[in-house]
This record gives sequence, C-alpha cells and structure tokens, in this order.
Amino acid sequence: MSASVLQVKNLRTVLDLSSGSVPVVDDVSFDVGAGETLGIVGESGSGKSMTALSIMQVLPQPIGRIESGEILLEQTDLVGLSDEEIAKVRGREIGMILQDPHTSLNPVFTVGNQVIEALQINNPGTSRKSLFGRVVDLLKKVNVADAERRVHAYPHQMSGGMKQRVVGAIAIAGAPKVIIADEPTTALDVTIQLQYLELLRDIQEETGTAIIFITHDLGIVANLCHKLVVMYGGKIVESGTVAEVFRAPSHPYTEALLKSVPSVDQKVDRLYAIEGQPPALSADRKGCSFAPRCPYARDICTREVPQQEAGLSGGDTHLASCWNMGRDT
Amino acid sequence: MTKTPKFLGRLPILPIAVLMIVLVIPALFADFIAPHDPFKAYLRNRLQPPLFFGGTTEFILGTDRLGRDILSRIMHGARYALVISLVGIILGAIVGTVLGLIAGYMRGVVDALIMRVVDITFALPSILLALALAAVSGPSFQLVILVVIFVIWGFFARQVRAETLILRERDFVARARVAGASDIRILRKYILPNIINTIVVLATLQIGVVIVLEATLSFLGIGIPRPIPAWGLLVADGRQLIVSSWWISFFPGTAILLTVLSVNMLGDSLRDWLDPKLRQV
Repeated sequence: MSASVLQVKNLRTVLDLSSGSVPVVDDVSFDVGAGETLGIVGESGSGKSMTALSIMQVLPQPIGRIESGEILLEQTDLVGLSDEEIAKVRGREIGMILQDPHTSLNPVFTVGNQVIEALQINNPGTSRKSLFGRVVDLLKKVNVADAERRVHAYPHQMSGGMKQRVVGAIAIAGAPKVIIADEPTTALDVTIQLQYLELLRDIQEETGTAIIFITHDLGIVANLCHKLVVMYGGKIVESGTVAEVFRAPSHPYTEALLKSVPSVDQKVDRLYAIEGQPPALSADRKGCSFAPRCPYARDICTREVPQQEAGLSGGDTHLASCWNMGRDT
Repeated sequence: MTKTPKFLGRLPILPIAVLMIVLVIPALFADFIAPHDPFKAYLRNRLQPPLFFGGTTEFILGTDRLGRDILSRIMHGARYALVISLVGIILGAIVGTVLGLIAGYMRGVVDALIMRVVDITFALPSILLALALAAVSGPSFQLVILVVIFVIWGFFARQVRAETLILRERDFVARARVAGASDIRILRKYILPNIINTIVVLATLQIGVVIVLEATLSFLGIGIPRPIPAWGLLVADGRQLIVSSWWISFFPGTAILLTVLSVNMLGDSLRDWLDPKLRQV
C-alpha cells in the first residue's frame, strides 16, 4: 500500500517494578499506511494495550517508560518529544478510542459539550458557539440518529453503542492521521459491534486515516483489517497480511487462536481452549514465551529465543518466530 | 430537553424560607426591622421573659441581664453569622480545593508535603492558635475568619485529594489525555466538575462547625469583640442564668439550630441538582 504513516521500530517498553524492570513490549516493529488497517491480536497481558499506550505516551506513571526503539509518525520520532509536543500529537495526529464507552465520557457534561471540548483542544481560541454546527456534523458522521437533539443529552441517557459513537466522534474531531482503537467493540453487544465496525470502515474510506485495531477477536480482524500482528508475552510472534496469516498460520499460538474461534457449521461438544496461563511478567525469561503452553515445544524452545523467519504461506510480508516452523501440522 | 435548570422546579421551599427568615433578611435589614436598638439597655426591663411566658409584646423574645432586647440582638447577630460563614467557608474551600487538587493530581513529594501540612493543622489546637494570634493582634473580625480558614481548609483538601486520586485513574480522564487535553484542562474540566458536589455538600456541613467555632472563640473573648451581638456570644451570655432565664440562650441557640439544619437540607438538594444522574429528566 502507500507509504507508512506510523512506523514502530524495535519498540521496547518496560515497567519498573520492585522486582526489577519488566519488559511489557519487547522488540515490537510494525507499520501502517494511510487508509490501511492493522490488527494487533493477543490475549490479555500480551502487551497489545501497552503498545498503544506507548505510542500515545500515556504509560502508567511513574513506573512505565519506553526503554528503546522509535515511533515514527511520518518522519518525526515521537520518542523523546517534550510533554507539550506530544500533547499536540494526541488528538490531532493520533486519535484513540478506548474499550469501555460507559466510562470514557465525562458524566457531568452533555455529549455535545464534550465534542466541542475536543474541537477546542485542536483549534485553540475558537468560540464554542462557532463550533456548534461542526459538532452536529460530527455526530451525524458517526451515525448518531437525531443528532440535533442528542447534542444536549448526558452520557447516562445514551446506550453503550451510542456512547461509543460519541467517543468515535471525539477521536475524529482532530482529523487524526492515525486512529488507535483499543478493543472498541468489546463492551458492545454483537449487533452493535458490526455496525460500529462498518462505521470505522466508512470513516476510513472517507478520510483515508490509518487504523490500528487492537482486539482478541480474529473474526473482526478477518473482516476489517488488511494486515495483522499477533502478540504474545510482549513480543510479536507472527505478522503478515490477513490473507497470509489466515491461510498458513505459522506460529503455534496463532494456530491455537484460530482453532479457538467457534464455527457455525461445525457441531462441537467443547470449545477449544489453549491450556495454561499467559506468561507472568518477570525480568528474566528464557526461550520462547509460548513454550510452556505449546504442543510442539522441544528442548531448544525453553532455552533460546526464536528469530523471525519467513512464514509458511511464502508471502513477502509473512514473518513468524518459532523453532518448529517446519513441523507437520 | 430544555435549558431551564430543573432545580427551580423542585425548589426546597422550607429550608429556603427558614434561612430567609432567620438569617438572610435579618442580616440585610436588621437596621430597619429590629424593634429595638440591640445595644440599648432597658435597665428597668431586665430579664423580661418572652411573650406567652409572662412577657409583653414589647420584648417578644424577652430581655437579657442588662435589659437588651433578645430579638433585636439575634437579628443584628445574623449579619455576623452570615458574613463569617460565607467568607470563611468560601476562602477555606478555595484554599483546600486547590491544594487538594494539586496533591491528588501530582502525587509524589508535593502530595506528601501538602497532606503533612493538613495533618499538622488537624493536630494543632485551633483555640491555642487563636489565643496566640489574639495576643499579638487583639481580637478582631479578620482574626476569626483567619482561624475559620485554618480550621476548615484541611477537610476540603483531604476530601478533594481523595476524590482526585480516584478520578485521575478514570477512563474519561485517560480519554481526555489521549485527545490532547493539558493537565490544567483535565483538572478544570474533568476532575473539578466531578467533585464540585462534594465540595458544596462539605461546605454546607461546615457551616455548623464555623458557627460553633465562632461562638467558642467569642465565648473565650478572642473572637468577635463585645458588645457585638454575635450568636455565639448571645448563647454564652445566658450560660449562668440558664435555669432561671432560659430564653437568653435558648433563642440564639434556636437560631443557630435552624440555620445549620436548613443549610444542610439545602446542601442535599443542591447536591442532587449538581449530579446529572439524579437530575430529573
């Protein structure tokens, strides 16, 4: 696709805990171009949200910090920008949609007021009155029905799907080049999920913004994303285009994730689940993080970290990190 | 959805009426409506009982040891109760809220420093402080307000800090930050509006504390100087005669009671009104 808007290179984020510096994002690299959607997939604790927080530089303080790596927004490296400079990037260059719409709006102001607020941050010095028309436009753009009336509603008077649309309106208020959506549909019910995903796609088509979509739902990734990275234990274990990865999942973890998606046409007694727990955060980890849960694990898996190699699909961009790539599956 | 404040539709009539009658109208118009000069001693009418207890319509609430009209003194005293509570609490609330916001939002060393100062003000006997200050500057109106601020700001700082600590971790604050809001904007638009109802309720609850504090200081002679008829002084005046001439303390005491009670009820209504979830739609 087109030149990348956001490029993350060898990002390493650590949390300074009393037990030592624990890497939560470890040597993560990816890029996303205009009009492109990247899925970041992984279970809880895999480091996908921490990656998003690192890009926005809103890591938990004072323990979180970016240890090394680059986050290139077009040509500028966001790592090492001053607080004022990064504040200008937030909202204007990179917008973000959080997981839970019920808690991500300020309960004491009307939603119109909060969209105006977002517009004001991006256009300092403009009066609230002059922005009012744009608020209604924005709400219409995110398919809030009856927007002229709804601007005066308080968040608690709206449904979850409606609130998440408002959060979306706030995210696009600054016309950002990149939108990071951190599990935006997890708190919505299924019918609304689909509508919301379609909305995101429409916005993308209209504005050409890049989307980073964080989720654990591979069904969504298949529908919405162009490419994906699979994260486990803070590392990218597999990456590639959606077609490549779905055709030939090369890391046992990706394979297991795909197996965990229930299918409508197959009748099963028990749903598939990956045995064991995701790795606990600790400073000294050896070998492949997935080894304890991996059905193919060998000696070497617990001793040495696997390097990235070409994935099984043979595609140009398909990469995976596993010692057992040549396995019989 | 109209823009008219719903508060007006559900006005708490009773507490407002009581406050108007006991506090606000006398405070504003005591010079015109008081039947007597509050300082004038009608020596021949000393210790007159109130009307219906053997008194006359001339001194409806009776007279004190010097024959001064209790009703007129309460009316003039309302002014001091109003001004001291309002000024003292507003200033104390501002100081406490600002420092509480800073402590809760910044955390770390600043937080520790501010909260230790709060601990110190709680540990220090305020009466002692007032005595020391009065010894230097002499008892005065300003001194009382200063002591009021000193005593109450810590309550605001503690409460505001606690709520700020919770709010700063809430999702909508995180969302504001990723939308590019500055710290000042987050404090002003996201944190303060969510704790303003706590501050209002706390402020109304402090009125009782302040009136009693003022009475204590006046009683000890380090508060409002005599012969100004502050309510606390009026209660103190009747202390020795409480058995024989109960009305000297009783009526000023009732004025304090009604004021504190009404203000608390008003505070509850105000809190409901300030919380959009409880606002009727």
